[in-house]
Amino acid sequence: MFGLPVSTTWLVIGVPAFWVLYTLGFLWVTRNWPGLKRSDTGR
Amino acid sequence: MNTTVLLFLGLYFLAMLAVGVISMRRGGSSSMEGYYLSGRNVGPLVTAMTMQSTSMSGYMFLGAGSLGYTQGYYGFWYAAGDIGGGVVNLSVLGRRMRKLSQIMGALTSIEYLEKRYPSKWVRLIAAGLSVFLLGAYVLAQFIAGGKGLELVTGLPYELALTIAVAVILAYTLMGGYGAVAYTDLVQSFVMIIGIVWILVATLQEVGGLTAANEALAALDPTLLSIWGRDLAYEGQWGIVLGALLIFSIGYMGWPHVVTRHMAMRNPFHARRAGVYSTLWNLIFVSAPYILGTLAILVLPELDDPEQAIFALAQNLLPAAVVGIVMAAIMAAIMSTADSILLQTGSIAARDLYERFINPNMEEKQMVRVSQAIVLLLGIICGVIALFEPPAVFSIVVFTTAVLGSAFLPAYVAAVWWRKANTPGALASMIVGSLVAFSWQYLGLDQVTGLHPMLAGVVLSSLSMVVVSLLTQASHPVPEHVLRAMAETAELRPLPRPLKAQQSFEMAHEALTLKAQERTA
Repeated sequence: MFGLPVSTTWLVIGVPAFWVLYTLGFLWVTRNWPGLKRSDTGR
Repeated sequence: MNTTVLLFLGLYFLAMLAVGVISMRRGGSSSMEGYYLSGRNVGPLVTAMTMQSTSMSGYMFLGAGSLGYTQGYYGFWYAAGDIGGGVVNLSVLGRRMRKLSQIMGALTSIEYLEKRYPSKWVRLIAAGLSVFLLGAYVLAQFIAGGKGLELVTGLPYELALTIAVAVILAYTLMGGYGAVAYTDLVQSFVMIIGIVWILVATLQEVGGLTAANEALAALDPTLLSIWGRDLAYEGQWGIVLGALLIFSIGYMGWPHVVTRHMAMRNPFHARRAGVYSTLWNLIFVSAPYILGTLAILVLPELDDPEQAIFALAQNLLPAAVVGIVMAAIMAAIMSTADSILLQTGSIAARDLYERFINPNMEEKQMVRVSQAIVLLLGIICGVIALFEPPAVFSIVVFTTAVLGSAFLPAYVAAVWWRKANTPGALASMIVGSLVAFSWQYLGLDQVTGLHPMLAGVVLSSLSMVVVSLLTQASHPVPEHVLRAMAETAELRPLPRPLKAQQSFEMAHEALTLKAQERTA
């Protein structure tokens, strides 16, 4: 892709894709976190 | 020097000072919690942006571009870890550290360590290490700021440095953490705009990424390799893994970065802040490395690779846009310098001066002392920077590796491992800092093929585990700490008795002394 060798493509595209998945996983795991409404400061 | 560029920079500096004035009027320096943590009232967007812009220093515009220019796509090993650094930090530490720090009434990330691992030695060693290492980091950022401004404006280095230091000191002193966090927010946007603009212009110049890569392959196919020019790093997994770790998990050991968790308005904001961090990093982090690599095609005869991004801007953009890119470079430098300056001053004032020398100060008096120390530190670093000591950027690399190795296990275990005790934390900090220091000083990375960060983190983590387990009987974790840890695991707002952070058994000696005086 983009004229890059396969290993470099994995590094340039694959690793950022992994972090996107990690972030989505974090969102999923924390989907039941309370206190996200503006009125509830959770302090 | 182009007056349009100067005008942009002048406006940018004025905007930063205005944010400082606004923060001051909002009471940023009227109380200790206000000055150190902006009253723990920072939202998720500002938390994410101050964390990211603090983490990304002038290195991103100078060092990252240079790495791309000299090693091609090998630089992406650093970017690959860096993209996830923010969300890893917020997902692992964010919510729990925010809650635990408030339950224990900690205002600095070093004070937090002492309260989690009760011992004055934890505070003394951690504060000493932080002040020394972060002080060196401030110095490096000042020099980068002075040089950047000299380059942009054509002013003499001494005058450029004085202006850069004066602006940073002014808004840091005025508004404390609030001013630093909100200027960081503005600066993070400036950094994004600047880097995207120059990236688009450069891609247009080289005919797109695919065409550029084909041209690079014709010049030297190893530039497209993950192992660097001439495959210099081929098979060196110990170095590569360290490069990945230093900017992915390494941030969790930096006292000036983890403080951001403690200032969040709501522990659960870590969730949204993690998303903002990843989005910002996806756009910002890779760009400097790509730009440095593309500069090989646009400017093949550069004398100084660190000038690659600056030279691209000057050659490809109109003057007004060059002003924005230059403001972005200054933003990267200033957003790191202000945070470290405030953190170093706070640690010196609260964790050393108040804790060990004068524990009987009133709150406002303490804020004044913190401001005085920030001012003094700024002046000392500014004066030293005038003489441009050599190898300052190597000091930056050195300090980040030592900080990460020394503190990462202590911060992570503080919220996740109930058996982590004081001897374990002390051993971890001492071993981590000594290993990372000696690994670099003795050049052991060349001999062993292991990055100093990798060696430091592995050995400091082992020390934490082994020493904690061996000393459980003689040094059990105090009951009030275990109760506080249990509370941080709960998915609920803090119970009212814990909100006020006045649990005396958890407060350090200074607060206890004050309480005794009040009741006497």
